[in-house]
Amino acid sequence: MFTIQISLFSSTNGGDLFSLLNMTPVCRTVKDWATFAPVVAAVLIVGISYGAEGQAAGLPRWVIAALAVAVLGASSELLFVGTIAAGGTPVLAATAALVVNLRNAVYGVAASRFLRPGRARWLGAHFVNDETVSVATARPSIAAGRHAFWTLGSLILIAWPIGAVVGMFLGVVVDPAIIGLDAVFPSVLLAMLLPSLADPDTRLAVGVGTGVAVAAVALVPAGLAPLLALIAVVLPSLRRALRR
Amino acid sequence: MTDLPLLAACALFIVGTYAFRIAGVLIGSRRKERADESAATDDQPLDHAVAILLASVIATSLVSPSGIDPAKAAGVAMGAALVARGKSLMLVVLAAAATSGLLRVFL
Repeated sequence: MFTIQISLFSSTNGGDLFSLLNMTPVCRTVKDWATFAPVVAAVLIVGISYGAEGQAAGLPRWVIAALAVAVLGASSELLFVGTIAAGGTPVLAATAALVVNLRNAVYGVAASRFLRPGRARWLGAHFVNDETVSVATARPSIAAGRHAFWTLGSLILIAWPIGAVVGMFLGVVVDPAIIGLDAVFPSVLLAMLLPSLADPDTRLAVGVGTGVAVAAVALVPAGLAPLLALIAVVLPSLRRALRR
Repeated sequence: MTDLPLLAACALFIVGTYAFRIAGVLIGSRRKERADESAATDDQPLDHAVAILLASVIATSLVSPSGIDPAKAAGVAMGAALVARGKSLMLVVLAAAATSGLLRVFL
């Protein structure tokens, strides 16, 4: 199941993808890989725990693998299998997981600047997630961001399902927390976020927004708190209007 | 044999997730097309929205209704300190994982 998906990907969409990559004359520096490698390694290892948890939750193997390829959203998929493992109905699990993925709509708007109109854009949309958008938007130019978005997105599309398949055959739930792996994703996102905080407007929006999110955590379902935090997006223009 | 509710739920999960992503991408593209016709759009609120989401995702991964995870928070704080010093992401990630992993072993 899984190998079929990958070969489909490289034969039909791969052409688009790589012609698109070649059109942007961006040096593939060592620094690029120093960014991608830790992200991809972390995706792979968390994928292993997703596969193992899915197996333990009693999901058929092909469902675990198909979801890994077709959803491609780590935190939402962990919530999905976690909810089913805890005895929730599949529909409840899917609904809860969808709430976590709502923020991808906002990321999608931001990622559209890296996606040219055309068929490749429909594949590119599938790559929209926390990691690709944060790494791509942190790049100094659109061309560099586009390169980062497609490269990291492709690598995650390969690493996440491979991790899931390895995990379900290992069948052992290796808790990523034991080796401190759960601290990796927040650290990667933070590394991408920090430079933008030099701007006072961004600092204001992020500061208040984060406060809202933390306050909301205990009150709303998982994944909704970051969306509520978006209300802080009006603050910079509000401050400017008040100063005038 | 796989049961029907599970299949339906998976379909909902897959289609819904892709719908969110493609809707965002298409809205963003249209917004840009319209901007090319008239005046330039203000990308700032969008950049702020992404920054808010990233910060909130980080924060809510550390804080749960049951409280804060000190080992994880210490790992992320270590990562943040190294980022601020301009260290490579590889080092940041390894230090973050090592910090929270070791704290869990010893606490």
